[in-house]
Amino acid sequence: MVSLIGPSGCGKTTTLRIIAGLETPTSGRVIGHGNTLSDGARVIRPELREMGMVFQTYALWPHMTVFRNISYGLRRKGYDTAQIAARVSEVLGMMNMSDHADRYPGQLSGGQQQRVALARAIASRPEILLFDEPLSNLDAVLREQMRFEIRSLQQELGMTSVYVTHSQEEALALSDMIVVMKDGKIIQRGAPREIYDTPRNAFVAGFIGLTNIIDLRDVAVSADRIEGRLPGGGTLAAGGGSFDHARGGRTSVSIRPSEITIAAGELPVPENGINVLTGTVRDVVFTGGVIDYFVNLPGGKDLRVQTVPPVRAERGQTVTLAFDIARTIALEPGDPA
Amino acid sequence: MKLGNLKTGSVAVLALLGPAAASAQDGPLQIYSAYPDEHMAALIEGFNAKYPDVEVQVSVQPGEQLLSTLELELRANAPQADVVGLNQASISSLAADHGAFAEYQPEGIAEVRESLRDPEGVSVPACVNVYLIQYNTNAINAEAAPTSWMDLTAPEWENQIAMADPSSSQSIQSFLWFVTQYLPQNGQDAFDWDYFTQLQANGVRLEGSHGTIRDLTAAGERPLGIQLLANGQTSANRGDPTSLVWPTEGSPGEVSSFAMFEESDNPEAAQAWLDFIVSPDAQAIMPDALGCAPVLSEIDYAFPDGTAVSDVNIVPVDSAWIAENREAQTEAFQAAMSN
Amino acid sequence: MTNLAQTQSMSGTVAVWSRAAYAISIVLLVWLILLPFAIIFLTPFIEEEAGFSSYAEFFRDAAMLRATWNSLLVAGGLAVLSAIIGTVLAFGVARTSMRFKGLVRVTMILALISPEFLLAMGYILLAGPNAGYANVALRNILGLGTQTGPLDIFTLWGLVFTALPSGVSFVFLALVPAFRSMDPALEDAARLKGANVWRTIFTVTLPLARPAILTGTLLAFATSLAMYGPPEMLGVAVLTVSIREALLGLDFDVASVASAVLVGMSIIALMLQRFGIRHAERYRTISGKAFAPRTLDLGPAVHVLTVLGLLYVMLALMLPYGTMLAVSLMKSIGNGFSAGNWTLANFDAILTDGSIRKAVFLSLQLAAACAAIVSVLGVIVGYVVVRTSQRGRSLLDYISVLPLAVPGTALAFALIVLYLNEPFRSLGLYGTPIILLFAYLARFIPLGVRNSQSALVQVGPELEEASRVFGAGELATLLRITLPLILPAFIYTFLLVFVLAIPELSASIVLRGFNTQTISTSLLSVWNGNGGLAVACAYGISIFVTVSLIFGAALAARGLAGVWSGRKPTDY
Repeated sequence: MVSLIGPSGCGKTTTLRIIAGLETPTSGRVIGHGNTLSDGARVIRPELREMGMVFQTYALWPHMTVFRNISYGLRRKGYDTAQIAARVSEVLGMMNMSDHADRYPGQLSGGQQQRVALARAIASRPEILLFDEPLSNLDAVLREQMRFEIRSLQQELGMTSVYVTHSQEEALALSDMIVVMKDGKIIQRGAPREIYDTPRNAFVAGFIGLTNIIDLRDVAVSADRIEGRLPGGGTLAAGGGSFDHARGGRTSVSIRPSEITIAAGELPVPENGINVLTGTVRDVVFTGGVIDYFVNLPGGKDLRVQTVPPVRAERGQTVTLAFDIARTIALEPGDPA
Repeated sequence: MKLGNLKTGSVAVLALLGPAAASAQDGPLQIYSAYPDEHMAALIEGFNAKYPDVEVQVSVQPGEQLLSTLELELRANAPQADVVGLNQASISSLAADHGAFAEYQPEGIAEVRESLRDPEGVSVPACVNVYLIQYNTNAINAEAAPTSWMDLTAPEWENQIAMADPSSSQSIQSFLWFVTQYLPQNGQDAFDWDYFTQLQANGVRLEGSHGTIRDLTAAGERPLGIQLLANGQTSANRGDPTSLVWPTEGSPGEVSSFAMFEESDNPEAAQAWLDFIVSPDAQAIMPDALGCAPVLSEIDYAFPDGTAVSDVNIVPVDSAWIAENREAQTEAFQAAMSN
Repeated sequence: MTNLAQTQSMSGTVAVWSRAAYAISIVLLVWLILLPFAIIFLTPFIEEEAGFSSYAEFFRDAAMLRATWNSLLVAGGLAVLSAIIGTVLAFGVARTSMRFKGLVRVTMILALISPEFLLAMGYILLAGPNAGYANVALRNILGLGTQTGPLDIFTLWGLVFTALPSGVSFVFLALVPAFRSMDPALEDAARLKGANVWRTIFTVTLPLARPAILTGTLLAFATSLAMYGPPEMLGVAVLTVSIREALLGLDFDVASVASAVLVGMSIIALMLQRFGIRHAERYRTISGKAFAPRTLDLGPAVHVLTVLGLLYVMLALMLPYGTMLAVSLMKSIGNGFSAGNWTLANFDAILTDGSIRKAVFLSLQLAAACAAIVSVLGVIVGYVVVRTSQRGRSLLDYISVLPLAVPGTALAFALIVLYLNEPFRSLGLYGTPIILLFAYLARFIPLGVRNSQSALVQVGPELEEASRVFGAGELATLLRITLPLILPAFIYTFLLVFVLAIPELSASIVLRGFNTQTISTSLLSVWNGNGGLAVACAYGISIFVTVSLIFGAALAARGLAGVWSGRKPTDY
């Protein structure tokens, strides 16, 4: 499963629609399972592509029952009545919706409609399954539940899937590969952990997960690290990411808030391979499972730190922050997120 | 899709335009008439007794409106009927502008009083329709009712009178001619256009047709009407609380006529209609049908209120003069009414 | 999977389809609408070569100036009164606990769909100065010694009164949804700042409803400019009547200038309306979720609203139609409500009269043909405008709303000129039902196109796209998804046009000939003496009942459309 992720207007939905054949590209080729689907203006019509699709608004036909919605594609593909009935009851069973075959979409809840849309998409066992922000119209609890259902379904059926979303959680949880897009261009692609651990630039770092971006000056590059000065004094080293993009002695690095340990007062002598900074706690926000600290560094910049309870520092305290150089990632230049 | 419906719809519409079958005295006969349906019905019944295979269809409009409809259709060179029923003056003026009518001398035209015949031989006289005063008997006692045309200008009838508007009615031209031409020329100097100015000052109400005036009189909304006898007849049949006055100055009588079009789709039936109109059979039912006096000299006739034809002063109108001066008369009327 | 070489370009077929649809639409719209529209203005320059001098003559003619002034006065007076009464009643129904709301709503609908000349008939019977039933009753109650008055319907203000029920319902129907969709928080804010109920209404509620008030009022204004039946029956000289009279006198120049003046005034009114709602989003209080409209507590004042509502129901529905029903059962109207004066003969007369049957049949055929063509054309034009990117599609949009500004009498005049002259004269259409069909089509195309557009907008494009993805071609998608989904709206449009076209009067009366008597022209002919008032009342009551029943069916169809598109059916 591939996820396309990016801010709205980045072209991810257009890409999906080009794959589905709903939009005609001016140039370029689309190849799926070894078949050329479009080449320049010559295009295979969407109905011939044997794909399944789940729409953001579900796009269930309101004048048809659940059964007829699901069997629509099967009928068009020439299945006989018995096959259709068997297939529909099979997919409805997978979705725990067997009791609802004779209902109209208007009589179903949002989550149930989503399940029907999913059942419709997989009914003809398409080679390729497309998802266009399928969960964005659901409330938070349902969204999480459906996320796991889609994941287990996809693993069970093993279909090639393309999943468009603007939610990093969905992308991280569901995908084998994530493609981060911006302004119609692919910024980075890779496995979820790879993207999360080594974002290519500030945009990716900020879009996939929380992060702190720190600018460094007077940068020096060595074999395994890049080191530079903080605006407010002190030095910092990054052991991951790309070392080749430092310009004019400057670079940016990213460190996730959860990678940072925080302690009140001075820490003992730093170990090798650890960045150590001191600052003042400006604010502490307790949200249950996670505690957010906003620590003001001497140069005026806030660093966000997340820990699990208990609370390790109070507002106004001077604290020491420590984080692994290997988990500090040097970024390519690019627009800040 | 909806194409099926659409097609049958327009086919059905087109079917209405289909040509009339034209064989001897059968098929449809289409008559444009200024005479109301209830008057035509009796005539058609009599006609069908003679010619059962002709299916008579009538389309009724007030005279002046019908005149305009015909004018436009003749300009488009497409008269939509076989026969037209209008007064003699109106047919004459149409015939003067368009050679659209067929000359026809029906059998029995020789029996028609000569003064009523059309010198051009186009229109066939059906009956003489006269003007009188109709009043509502609930609102006005017989003793108090006006007895002359001049009485209508008296202040006691303020806002009580209705008459037809020459911009819509053709018949009222006969009354205009009577008041502004005939009476002054015959020593009644009190009559002139000023008469209408006085009526206007007395709050006379102008209506599009004499039928409307009859209903306004019957309802009491306008208890006095300058009315055609034919409508008094209808009121009598219907049991309206109305009665009639024969004004002392006399009653102008216009000649209700029929004529056939040159391009009639069913000339045999049209000729049969004109033959029937002047036949003694038709003339005998004319008083009950069109509510007017027969044109054959030998038929004795008494009006619905019992008055014999010989007891009233009917002044036959000068149709030729009216045909010629129609527009000028209408304008003069409008001028008199806005003084 | 299919070989690429065997498939044709998808965009290619779509383009061919939309280009063909565009071509058909533009040809029809130019022929049916633009051509007559141009003729209205060009006649003095073509027909009689009088040119601008006919305009100069028009404005020197005292009668024409008076007709123009009367038209403006009637439309203006009607607009102001409609705005006041319509706003008060809409507010009462939408936001207060007044009684008899359902009755008021039904009356509003009936006032809008039933032909206006029926009300004129009822009011003439009621308020004729000498024998009108209301006048007789008032004279008795007030002990007046006069034989006439106190009411006189045959006046300019009588005309305004006659047209008032439909004007009020324009404002009412535009306002009720606006009052309902208002966010109660806006009013709460005012109340929290210390304003009392009345102050809140005048400073928050009414200003928020301004675009809707404006829309309804200007619609009422434009509609009453175009009104023909009532002024003709009441004898009030307005421009529509002048056009007809000029045509009766075959004075095409005067007809043209009078039409042009009338069309000009209507266009200004409609442009003002567009101008007035141009910042509609500023007033938009609907944020996607439905508010439960809150009932404001007006105290005892709510009873005033209830009385006002009942008064409206009495004047717009009960009294006029009740009077017509009573008269329709009378032998002689002169004998009034007396024993032995009752009969069903008048209903028998209209059921057995051959020419009435023919007129009814023709009207039903014309209305059905018109409704079918208008709703199909509406879908085609709507499809091109909403779903394609065809160049010039906004032109379709503009032409198709043009007839809103053209009164039926003016349109009929243009058709006469068009089909009396070459090249169209050779078609031989003058005096045939086809020319009436052309007039009806032009009059009702705006309604069809607007309804179809909103129906298409409500069908999300993803429903069609889903069909494509799941294996259906363009045609299958059109047949199985798009058409079934807009079918209820299509049926609604069909029935609405059908029901409004059946009693069309203003164009029909100008164009009538032997085979083109319609329900309305034959009714008017019966009313004008060819049968009499009692028969006319029986005829009118029959039309009223029929039209109401068909409209009920139309509302049922729209209810289904609403359920499918996930909306609640609007409940007026």
